[in-house]
Amino acid sequence: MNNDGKIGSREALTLLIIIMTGKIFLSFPRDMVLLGQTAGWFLVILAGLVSLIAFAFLSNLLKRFPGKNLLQISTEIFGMVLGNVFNCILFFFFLIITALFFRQFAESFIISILPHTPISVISLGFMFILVYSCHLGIEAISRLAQFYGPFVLLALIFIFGFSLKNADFQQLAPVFGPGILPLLKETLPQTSIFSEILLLGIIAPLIREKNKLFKIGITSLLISIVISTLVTALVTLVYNYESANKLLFPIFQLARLVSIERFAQRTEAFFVFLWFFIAGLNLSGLFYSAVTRFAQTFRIKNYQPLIIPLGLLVYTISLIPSNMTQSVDFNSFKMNNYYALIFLGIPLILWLGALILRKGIRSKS
Amino acid sequence: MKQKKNISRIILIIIISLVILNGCWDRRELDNLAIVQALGFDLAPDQRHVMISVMIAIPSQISGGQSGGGNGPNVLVVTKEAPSIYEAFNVINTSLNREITLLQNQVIIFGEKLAKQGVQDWVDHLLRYREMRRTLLIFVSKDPILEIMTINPKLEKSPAEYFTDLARLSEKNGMSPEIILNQFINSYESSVQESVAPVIGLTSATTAKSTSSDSNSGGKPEKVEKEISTVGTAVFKQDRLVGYLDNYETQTFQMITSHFKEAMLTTKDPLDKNGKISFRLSAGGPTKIRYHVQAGQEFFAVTINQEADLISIQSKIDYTKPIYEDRLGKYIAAQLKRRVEKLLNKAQNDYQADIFGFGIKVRNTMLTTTDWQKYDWPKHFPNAKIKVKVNVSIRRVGVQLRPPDPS
Amino acid sequence: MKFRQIMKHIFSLGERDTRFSLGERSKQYPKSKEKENTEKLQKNLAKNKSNLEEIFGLPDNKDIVIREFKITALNKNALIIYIDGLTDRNTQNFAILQPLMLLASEKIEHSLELADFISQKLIPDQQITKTEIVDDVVSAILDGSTVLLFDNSTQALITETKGWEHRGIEKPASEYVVRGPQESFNESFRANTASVRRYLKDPKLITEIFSIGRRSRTTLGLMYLKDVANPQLLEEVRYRLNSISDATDFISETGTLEEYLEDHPLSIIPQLLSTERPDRLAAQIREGFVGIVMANSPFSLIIPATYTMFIHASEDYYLRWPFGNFLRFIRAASLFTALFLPAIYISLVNFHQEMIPTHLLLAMTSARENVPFPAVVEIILMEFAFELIREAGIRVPSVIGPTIGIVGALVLGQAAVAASIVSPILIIVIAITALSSFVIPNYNASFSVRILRFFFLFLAAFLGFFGLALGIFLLSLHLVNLSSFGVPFLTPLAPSRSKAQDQIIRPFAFNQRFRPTFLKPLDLIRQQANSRPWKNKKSPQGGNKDQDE
Repeated sequence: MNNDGKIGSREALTLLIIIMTGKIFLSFPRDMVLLGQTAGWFLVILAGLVSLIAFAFLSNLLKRFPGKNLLQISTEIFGMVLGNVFNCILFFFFLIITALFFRQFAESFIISILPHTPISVISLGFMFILVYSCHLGIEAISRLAQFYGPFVLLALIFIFGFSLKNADFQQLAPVFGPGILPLLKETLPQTSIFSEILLLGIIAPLIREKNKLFKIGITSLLISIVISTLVTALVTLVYNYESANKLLFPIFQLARLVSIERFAQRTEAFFVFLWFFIAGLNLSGLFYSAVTRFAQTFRIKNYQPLIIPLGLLVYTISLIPSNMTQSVDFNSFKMNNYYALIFLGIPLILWLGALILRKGIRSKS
Repeated sequence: MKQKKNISRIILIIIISLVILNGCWDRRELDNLAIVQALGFDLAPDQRHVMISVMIAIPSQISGGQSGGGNGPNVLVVTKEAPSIYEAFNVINTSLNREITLLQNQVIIFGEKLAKQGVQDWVDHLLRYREMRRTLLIFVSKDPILEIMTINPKLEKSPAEYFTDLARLSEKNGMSPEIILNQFINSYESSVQESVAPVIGLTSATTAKSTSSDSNSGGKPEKVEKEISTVGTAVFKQDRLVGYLDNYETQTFQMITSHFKEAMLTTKDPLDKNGKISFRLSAGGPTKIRYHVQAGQEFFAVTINQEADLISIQSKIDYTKPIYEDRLGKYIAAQLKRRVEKLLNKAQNDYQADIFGFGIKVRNTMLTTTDWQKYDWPKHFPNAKIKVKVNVSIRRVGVQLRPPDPS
Repeated sequence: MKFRQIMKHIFSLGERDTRFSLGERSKQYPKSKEKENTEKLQKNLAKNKSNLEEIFGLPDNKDIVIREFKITALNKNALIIYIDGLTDRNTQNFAILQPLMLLASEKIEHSLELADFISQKLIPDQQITKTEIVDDVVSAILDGSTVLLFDNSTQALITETKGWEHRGIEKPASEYVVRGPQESFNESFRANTASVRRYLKDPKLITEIFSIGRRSRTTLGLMYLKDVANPQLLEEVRYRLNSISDATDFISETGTLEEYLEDHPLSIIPQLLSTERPDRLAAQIREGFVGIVMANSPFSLIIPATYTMFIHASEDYYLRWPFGNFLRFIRAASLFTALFLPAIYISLVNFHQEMIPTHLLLAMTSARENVPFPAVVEIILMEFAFELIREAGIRVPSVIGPTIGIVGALVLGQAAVAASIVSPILIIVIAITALSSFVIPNYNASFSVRILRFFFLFLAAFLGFFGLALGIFLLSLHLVNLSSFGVPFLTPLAPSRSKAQDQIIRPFAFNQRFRPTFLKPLDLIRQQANSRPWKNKKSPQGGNKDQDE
């Protein structure tokens, strides 16, 4: 494939973390609080545990087929046709995720700082970034992720620190929220939160240190779980659960509460930067995966001419939900069942196939 | 070919510049904005509409600067009636030439009538609109809002800062709570605590006229003016205003909720019936509330720790001696305990509203939110038994040991 | 057709240079072409003379002088040919003509070939080269050497007689420091190379000489340390230089050369560092970089360049650690201000008024009530006026220089405010931005900052902080992809290296143990682990870690 560079392990790590935690700026904390009430953070941990299991399958798969990405693995196990079916599923997965998150991010910018701007302008700006970064390749995207990593972390810590002033730790009680059983019922669909770890399967051949794949994956997954839990917990602490499940984009509201003495109030516009960078990187990574999936399914060597048409596709799909609440609800409560299915299903099926059909390199012991 | 390319490039640049310079959707120039500093709403006389008063800052008067401050008012107060808050803005903009923006707003004032009828209809207004934010200060006003807004505070050019500073100063005297919209909404939505808000009202104040060049200034009469002051706390039950606490009850309220920082108080001298002792009371630590339930009856044990620094002693008794200090401490503690118990009684029986947040302690013992919702704490609050213990220790005596002695 | 060209223009910025990357791919270099013109001299002196006359356009060309004489000792005709003005008269007279004409009066028997004999025994000049090729003769004459031709010999002798009027070594014009050497390069090639040599008295410091441009034949020296510089990098640089040396006509300044050598000439960010100071060049050569010194150009190039080099100044290293880092912080802060302050101002005033404290906002509003223009127009006007002052200030005769500065400041600042064309706070913003942009030490980089500032300003005027964030993202995408001679531009930030010490805060000089690893130099270690043996009385090869103060 053209323009495929090599990515270092630290860059891949940061990229995966950013792609998985990009959601915390959208309605993700509120969804968790809606489903788990005071134990929303616990729901995140449960979902994280289940996704760790799914990740175990994925990493074992990658270990059996070193140096290959998911398409090549699936064709090797199941043959050309069936393998390509999996690839198509992945393509649609990434495409729809990109489009729906694209819409949500654009809406969030309009709601928070630019109320009168039509969404097409903001979408155009984002689209330009997606196209440009996809054109430059995953190497540039991951380097950029690593470049911005510390700043993003710093800004998050800033928000955390200032919000703790308004936090009341007694808001976490009652501890079990709506009860253990409802929590467990919601765990499986909510593992879609971490479904983007499948990206690891796609960029696996491009990472320089091949033996570090497991470490990269598990570290990024664990860090994302920790960050998502902390954010959900923070939202529950600052707003009690009855208020929190009505907030749209809770981190934005948290940023609004930040006030340092008299002169630095109402500084939430600065968080636009943090937000924008995470949104841009998030969407770029997902879009790149979608484009490369498509290219690889049809054996197209150079994926660059595909970028603009697929970009247009993303743009149009993003405009499908007719208003904002629909876009949020659609993604969080209807589509996420499918995401979870794909995330849990594909590595499992592939792994079982590799096991049963005895494909791939089995490591000793 | 090259000519065409150049011309088309120039046209492209011109188009882009036009778009940028002409204006984009969100761009607003500073001198097109009417900056609202305080927003007040009350019920209109016909009980259906809401009467909105906005206090708009006049930049040239407030900032002074090069144009020089004038003698006129610093703010423009506009009142309009409308079915909703934001429609009122539209109506105001039919006569005011600048676009009303709430971006710099700092204060929200509820009228008494509106609060008594219930803020439920208007709370969503305060949350949903983008320009509102949850860091606004909330006040309830006893007197008509229009009168309050038109008063020119003397030391401060900008009235909104007057309000914010006033609220912030409550730390020093504990006589009114500092409530921002976030706190109000949190307690409004949850059943662990009822909401409170500080109350402002007009009180009369006598000010002497400033000395003029006339020699016989004694003949000039003193002016009686009205000024704004915080007169206590408003107690809400669910969404209605049910009662008031005055300044001293508010202090006690702050003590129970661990928000009390310091205040200057006076008490009768325990050893000398004619004298008074002034001291500065400051919180010695957060208030401890312990909860246990026994046979269906809830018990709360409230422990308040305060520290006192003596400020003035009217009698000649030397309170720096340890036994006297001890006795004074116990005396003050007894008086405070009486005040706390009176307040708790008032909250439980008169208002039946748990403004202190005892509910959180109860919720801590529950396991699931469904249990908590079934429990319905507000019904149980009036029957709870609350035991109070107050500890006051005299820490410092100022810079003088024995009081002066005329001999 | 036009649309596709525009798209290609935009997206060609982003294509990574897949041809060359240090240390990762092996690359086959085509063999350098042999010299085309290999016409040789002839034995007959008169024929050679007429050949050369034709080449140089004599007798019209009065610059070229041909002096015929007879070598007494050998009784042969000879001539010297040179360009008047480029040669040193004394050397010619006393080192060439005098010995050949006067000093050996008798016939001398010899057994060597004629040219050898003359060069070894008769001409006391310090540099003599033998050649048979006419092209070499012509180049030598144009260089300022004197060529000696004799009868009956196909060989010519090129003697070194360069000497012409040139500027002495003066203070640097654009990279002034307070603490540090005050010398700069000048237009003389040998003076430049000598300046560098004084800092690096290493026998392994190599100067390879190229001559670039068909008509300009500018002398260019490639300086590097043979046992440190990466041979692959050298190969690439040599390849590029050789390929452009015949392809182009005239290269007179390293700036033009920069354009020919850069990977992305359209990019706003420079990819080669140019410096006027020999100490800076020597310091970089010591790190493993490759330097290009050119005749007629007081600016030398350093290859490859990463972003840190554009915001470091040599003074940081000459001052003590706390002071050097203090300067660095100020420079980092002013880089930020120079790029973003106007954009932030516009976003705040036009889009996010809530961030400004209320008092300040009211003051600004009352100031802006008298101003007729929208904020964007105001700031563009003032920026333009400032750029005007800046450009005019360069060309103003030094006598009235200070006066213009005062007049400019007074006129544009005070009067504009009084006439209500701009508001006072804008003047402050512009002034701070302008001052900050002067803090950037590299001239090229300061241009980048100036242009980028406008770019961000337009974006912020369009969409507020969102536009600014968009611009920053695009710029960083571009930067992350930029590479200078195979080294990614944002090294050591973007592909992160663990040994990256010297970015914003510079470490102690005695702690800097390794050369930059991204260059893949042949010798990584610059100083031993215990670089201050007087302090740490252990063995020189580590054992005890370096101790800080």
